[in-house]
Amino acid sequence: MNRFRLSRSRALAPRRTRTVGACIALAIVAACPVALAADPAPAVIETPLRDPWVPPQSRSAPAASQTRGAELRAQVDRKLAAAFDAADVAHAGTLTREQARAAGLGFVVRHFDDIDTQRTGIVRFDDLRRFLDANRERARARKQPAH
Amino acid sequence: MIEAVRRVIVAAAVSVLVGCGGGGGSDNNPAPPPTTFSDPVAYSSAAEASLPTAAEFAAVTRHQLAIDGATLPYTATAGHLTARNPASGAAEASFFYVAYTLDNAAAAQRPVTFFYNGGPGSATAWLHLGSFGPMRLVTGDPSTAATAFPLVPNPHSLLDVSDLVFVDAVGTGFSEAVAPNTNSTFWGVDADALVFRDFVMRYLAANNRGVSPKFLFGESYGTTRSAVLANVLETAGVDLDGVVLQSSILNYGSNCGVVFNANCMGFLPSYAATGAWYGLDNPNPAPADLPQYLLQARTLAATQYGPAVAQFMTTHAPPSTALLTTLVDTTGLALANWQAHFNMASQTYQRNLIPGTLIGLYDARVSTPVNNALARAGDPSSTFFEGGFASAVPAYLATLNYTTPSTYVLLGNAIQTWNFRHDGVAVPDTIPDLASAMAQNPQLRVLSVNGYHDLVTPFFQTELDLGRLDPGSNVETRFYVGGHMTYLDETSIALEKADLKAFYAGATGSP
Repeated sequence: MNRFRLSRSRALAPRRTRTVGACIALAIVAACPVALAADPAPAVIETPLRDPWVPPQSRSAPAASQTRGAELRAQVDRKLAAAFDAADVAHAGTLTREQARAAGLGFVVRHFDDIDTQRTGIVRFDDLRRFLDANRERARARKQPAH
Repeated sequence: MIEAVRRVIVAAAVSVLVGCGGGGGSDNNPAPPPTTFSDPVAYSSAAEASLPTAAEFAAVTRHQLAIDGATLPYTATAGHLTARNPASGAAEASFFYVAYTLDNAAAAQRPVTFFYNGGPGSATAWLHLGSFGPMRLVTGDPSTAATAFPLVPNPHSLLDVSDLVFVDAVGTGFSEAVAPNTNSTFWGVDADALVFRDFVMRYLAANNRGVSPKFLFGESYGTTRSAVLANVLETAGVDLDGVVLQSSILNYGSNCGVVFNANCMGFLPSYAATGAWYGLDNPNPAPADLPQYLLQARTLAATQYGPAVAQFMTTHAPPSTALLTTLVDTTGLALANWQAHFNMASQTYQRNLIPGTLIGLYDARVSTPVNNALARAGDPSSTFFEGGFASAVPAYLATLNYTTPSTYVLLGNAIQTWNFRHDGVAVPDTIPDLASAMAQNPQLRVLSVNGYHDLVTPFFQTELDLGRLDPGSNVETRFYVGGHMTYLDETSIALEKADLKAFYAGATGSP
């Protein structure tokens, strides 16, 4: 019984909002004559103040990613590696303290000696990751109540 | 071009006449002498606009504020600082900010908090004059009876806990890009966060605050910004102590008010709270029972409504009559609406809960007859608040000895052309950014504050998004009666202030 009405409303929703979005582009405050054939509600436009808001073309973005656990940690690794690689202008897979400083990688500069455990004067991304893992474990241990 | 030349000439002339601001000072925040600043620059919020050059001037004034029986002497600094590219040193943007610093406090112990609203494209007037600054506009929210909002000394100010820096995004307020950039250069998720990073680093350096505990306080899109900004600040070596998320949208892809393909389950508990406010739920909970009632609504959303919507979106399988009846009882919204719009967006809920009445989105406790002027822009709550805030800013800045011929842009048009793309996806998911900030700084603490009656960034969706972080992450969550701007409510702001005070104490390790 509900099938037709339900699916119809989903199909109409994108079209309605596109019309509304176009109105905002044309007239920020003034009321905009919007045809809302499928909706008995009064013709109103979204206030452009409304936050969050994205342009109509972004509204049919694919379903949200809901990464967590190992998948989320892999995303974090990719972010950190991207910053590291951007600083590695020589594509050597390594950074010196000066290279890190020149690239604005203050985190690596500040912790350089702790990341560079072998005192080689260069660090690799794996060194950075090991340092972060150890850091996290230390923080976790501190959170445990002392006995 | 002529305009650009005029700006340079006038700025140069003024530089001779006024003292250089920037506020702050050395270890003990000595109170600087008061100055006035008649800023001659004509700021523009247009996409293609930029300043030919940027100068750092500020007006400095001295004030006092009473909080909890103590009188706090403080300095207000209103003016501009220049964000520069950290590698090249090139000027990117001239940020307008107002800083409130407690006089004679020790910089190493005294926290500093950066506040910004969202939009994107919104100036920070909402947080500046509505929340925890030393002066506050009293709106009477959720009543819409007030015809003007009095600006009064704020006993709920956070100034007893932290120095406060309210900063406007590029292309809002009096903040503008510096050539060869234009405002639109910084109108994107990543570019915006990077230029905010450079402002924060400039503020800390200019005021010798590198040693201070540091906090971010963003609202709405400002929470999206905070997640990305926290990550890039940590990478740049700026250790944050805490991030306050006021009414979050951390993942645009999970909010069904923004993206069509999202499941509206995160909104259901907010509809339950709204129905209860209007006495339409069955049975209708007493106000004191609301938290418990909303625990049940969360369970309903997570275990029944959400899965049914997911199935409906893939197979169009109709929901059971029993579930529809439960939804009607839980939200107060009539059966026909649930049958017609099963994946219920807030714009449908607000128009149909009470026939002939439009419910607010920013604050669902605000309502108006559909033919009332307040209904014209689709959200009576934001329409009600907006006028009073827009008009209050220039007069208030004049009391801080900062004057300008420019118009304070409360809401620019950045949102129309904003580049929402982030990490290769069309709309931003910033949970990985927050996780990355926490990976670099395991001591970082996050406080998520939410309004039960916020129909734009619903509290349960925020809980679901933050729930993706590893168990044991330093995330606390608080809820208040009220809308998106919980701090506009006279009762809730006192509760939120107490929670903030406890959060700061925990994050800085002070008693």
